[in-house]
Amino acid sequence: MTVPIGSKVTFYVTSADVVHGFFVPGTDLNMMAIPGWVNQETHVFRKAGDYLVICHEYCGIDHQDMFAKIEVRP
Amino acid sequence: MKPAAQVRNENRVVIAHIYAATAAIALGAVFGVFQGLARTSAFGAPAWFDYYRILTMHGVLMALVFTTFFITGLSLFVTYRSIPRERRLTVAWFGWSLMLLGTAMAALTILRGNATVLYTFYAPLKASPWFYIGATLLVLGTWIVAFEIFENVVFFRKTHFGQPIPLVVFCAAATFVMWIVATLGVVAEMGLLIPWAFGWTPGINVMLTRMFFWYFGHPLVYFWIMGAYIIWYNVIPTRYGGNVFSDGLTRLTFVMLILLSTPVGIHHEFMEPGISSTWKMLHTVLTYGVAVPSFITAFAIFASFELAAIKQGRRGFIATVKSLPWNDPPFSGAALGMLLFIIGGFGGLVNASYSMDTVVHNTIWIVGHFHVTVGGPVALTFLGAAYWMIPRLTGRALWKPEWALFQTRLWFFGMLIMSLSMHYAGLLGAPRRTAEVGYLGASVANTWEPYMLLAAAGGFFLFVSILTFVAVAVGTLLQNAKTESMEASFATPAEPAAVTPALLQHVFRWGALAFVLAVLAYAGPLGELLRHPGYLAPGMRTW
Repeated sequence: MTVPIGSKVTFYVTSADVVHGFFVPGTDLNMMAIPGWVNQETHVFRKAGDYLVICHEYCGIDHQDMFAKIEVRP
Repeated sequence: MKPAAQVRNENRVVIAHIYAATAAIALGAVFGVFQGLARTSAFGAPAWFDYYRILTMHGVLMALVFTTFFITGLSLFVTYRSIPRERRLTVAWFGWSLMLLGTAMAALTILRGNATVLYTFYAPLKASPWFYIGATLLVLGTWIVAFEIFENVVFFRKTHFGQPIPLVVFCAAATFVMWIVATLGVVAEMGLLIPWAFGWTPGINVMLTRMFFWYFGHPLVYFWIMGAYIIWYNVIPTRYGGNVFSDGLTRLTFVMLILLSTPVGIHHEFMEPGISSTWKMLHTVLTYGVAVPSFITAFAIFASFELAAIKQGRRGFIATVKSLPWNDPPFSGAALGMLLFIIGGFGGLVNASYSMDTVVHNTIWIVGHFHVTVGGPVALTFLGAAYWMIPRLTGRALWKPEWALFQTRLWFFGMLIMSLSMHYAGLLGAPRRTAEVGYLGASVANTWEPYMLLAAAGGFFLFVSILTFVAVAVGTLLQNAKTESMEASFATPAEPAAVTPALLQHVFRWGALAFVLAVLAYAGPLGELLRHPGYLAPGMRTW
């Protein structure tokens, strides 16, 4: 996902199977993804760079491979 | 005086608890050291290594089995020694057997790979029902032990009409009163999980199981802390010729812990949907409330140190610290544990604050926090106390007391290195309970690496420390000569002691009030969850 710097982004998070986490290290974007519920948080990206998004709740054998990237570009 | 045979039989029950705890910590340490190494990219993990299965074993053995068996053993010990009487030990042995059976069921299910759900067993991860049944039996076994302790309290009251129950027994009974209120939550959760794991119910309300879990999960940590406080208040002063600072203040501390330990669990659920900020705020405030008895304890323990130093004619902070028996293994374990609790206590206040928790929730900061608490003041005090109990249970002198002292110091440094590295890596964003944290060389992940290495080094020191403990504990048992006095004495207030208000004697009534408080604190959030159309998750095995 790529967003321009200064973007205000609202994330809606849920899960179709087990509990997962949604965490962007270096920010306060920190949510649990719970089956049957929708979690929500808004964040303004003020600094350019690559942000790592990781699942930070154990969800199964490949939990450590569950990650993504948010690119914040000028 | 009781006949020697009676004491010997009581000691056997306690020995069975303490050595079950020793076996758990020994096995847990082996699993622990592998995790520390696996998380560094320098060592990595061999292909056959199942990080999450081993992590589940480590968590269950250390947090649930070691602590519980030690506290049940300790509480039975102080009760039996303080209330001498003819007693049958059928109930006590039944409780121990049930705890052991439950532990064996849960442990074998995990080792066979059928319950890789970590020690929080969050649904809808679906373990084999035998894991949940085993865990339930472990809890029910502790209820039997609680019954044994309560029966002795009732006996004492009947036979010593109008007298307060001995302070150390009050502390043990208060610990189990709190434990009964707290474990109602996990038993309720098991009531949902077991039929679901058997396939008798089609799905499970995930948020409901989480709320039941944390209703139990946070007071669980106070169960550990109260176990350590039993020792700090009642045993440690006897190591430096001191007194309990105040009988009334000690009972007040335990009454506050009965009341405030349970209605706080939602501070573990700040990052979850479905719970409004009102209830999150209430539980935040109450969590700050439960810090108060810990501050009282810090004051009371140091006051006891100071009064003992004054009795020896020494005054001032440095003279007081110098007057303490730092080379005595039981004292060293407890006192170094208290120092670690300073880090643990303040870290806990960070976790309980919503806005700060958004930075650290589910990062390895949390792992650092609970290692420096349950693995700091709690485990280190327990290991030190084992050096005090084992000679009194067996009549055998401690085998290699200098190793015992070395063990407590090595633990302190190992834990300091490991937990501070974990705290710092957590602030940098390193997640907890994750097998590898390299994330294909993401730059933020590279900043964690040195701290993962340091944490692994600290973990290795802890591993060596636990091996040393096991060597001393088992070595003592193997010695032939019975040279030690088996008398155990507990600290009393200095004379003339103030009279403790009668209000602070009623341990069971405070328990009833605690249950009411817990219901009030949870009725609102539970109502919120149940008002929504319930999605029932079928659950799955993702390992």
